[in-house]
Amino acid sequence: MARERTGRSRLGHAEVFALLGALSFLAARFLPLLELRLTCPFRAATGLPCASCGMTHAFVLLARGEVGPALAASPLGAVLAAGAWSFALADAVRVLLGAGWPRVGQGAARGMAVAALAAAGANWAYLLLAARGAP
Amino acid sequence: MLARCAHCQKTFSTDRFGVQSCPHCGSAVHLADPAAPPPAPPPPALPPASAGPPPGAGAPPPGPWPAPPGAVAEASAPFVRRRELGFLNAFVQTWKLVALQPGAFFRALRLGESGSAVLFGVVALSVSQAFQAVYGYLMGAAMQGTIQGMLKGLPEGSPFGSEIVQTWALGRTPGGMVGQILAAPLLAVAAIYLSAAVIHLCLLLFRAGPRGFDCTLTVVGYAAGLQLVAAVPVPGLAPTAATVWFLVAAIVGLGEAQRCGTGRAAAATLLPGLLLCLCCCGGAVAFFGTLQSLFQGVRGSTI
Repeated sequence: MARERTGRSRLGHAEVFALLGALSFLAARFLPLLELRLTCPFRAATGLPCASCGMTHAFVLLARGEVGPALAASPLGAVLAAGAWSFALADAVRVLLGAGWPRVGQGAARGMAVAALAAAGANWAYLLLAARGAP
Repeated sequence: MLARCAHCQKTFSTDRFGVQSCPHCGSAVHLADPAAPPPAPPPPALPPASAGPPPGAGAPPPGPWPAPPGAVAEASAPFVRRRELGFLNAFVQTWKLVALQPGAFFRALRLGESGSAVLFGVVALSVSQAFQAVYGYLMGAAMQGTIQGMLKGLPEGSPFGSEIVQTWALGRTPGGMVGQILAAPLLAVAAIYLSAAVIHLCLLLFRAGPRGFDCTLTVVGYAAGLQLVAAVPVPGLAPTAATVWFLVAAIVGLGEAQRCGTGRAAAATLLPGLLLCLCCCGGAVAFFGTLQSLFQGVRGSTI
């Protein structure tokens, strides 16, 4: 006899992203990521930072509680790390309370995508300016 | 009953078949009656346009609506029915469809079954990673002497000089190889979800994601199954072929599944890839520059 599948609880996409966010915190806090000392290929070739340069530093420094240095390493990286970890926490609370996420419409989702692209561009501009001002 | 608009992809409830307008976008939606008999064959010849209707002819009799041009019957992938078909059989059938008929497969794919798509991609990526870990271990063991000699010639402060990188380059230990194999499923889940998130973000930028993130994740999951090609023991060529094949399947699949067309799907899929390529091209230049200096150093010390 076929089992009734309706009503069975299942892992949603939000929970997977929350789990990845939580794992990124554990990796940044406990793994020796900065010991790898790998140079960004784009920086090695051109001498300029790429758009994602400093992200690893930002994650690791923020996981250690060093907010200022994390923001200096990569503002977008620090915001992304804080967002990912806050999302993981919020999702855990949401699951415990049995609440739902607010629905995001197509227009709002597109607005967020445009904002993310603009933030990535602004972050790259900051990194380029910081590299130019560096001794 | 629930109906889906072929234009805006939104659903609405209705209690009748036939033509009606979508309450969301106003487009005409044709709902064919499943209980209706099949459409009659067309008349052998149409009367000339100037002839007009025959005397006494009124409105055409109500009949079954022809299927709209974009309408497709959605079906589950064979991998969704893996309990019924057997895991390996379902996997192979699905892999063939994704690899050889991505357009037809993704056009008719039923949504809401992204869990199976992710599992399909995770299995393929994990198997591929396992094979690559074994090749890496064997090649590292075979070339240990050569790599050791090259690493000794590195200048102080070289990015390749850290202890961790040297351990990695000197051929992984059996424990490291096992760790890589065990971590592969988790990394595969992360890779599929993050790739889907980035691609969906780009789809939203191009107004090309009307069917939502679940649809993008389904396409990325099934297309990631093509990374199985990277398990073929041809270093360099196999992973490159797998990546190109994945990109083609993802572009075709997103164009069909999201109903957004291949152009916008390609733009959304390749945008993050182009940015990454910018970094990779720079990396290739830096890598080959380092290799050249290493070989020059080795040759100089020998002579």
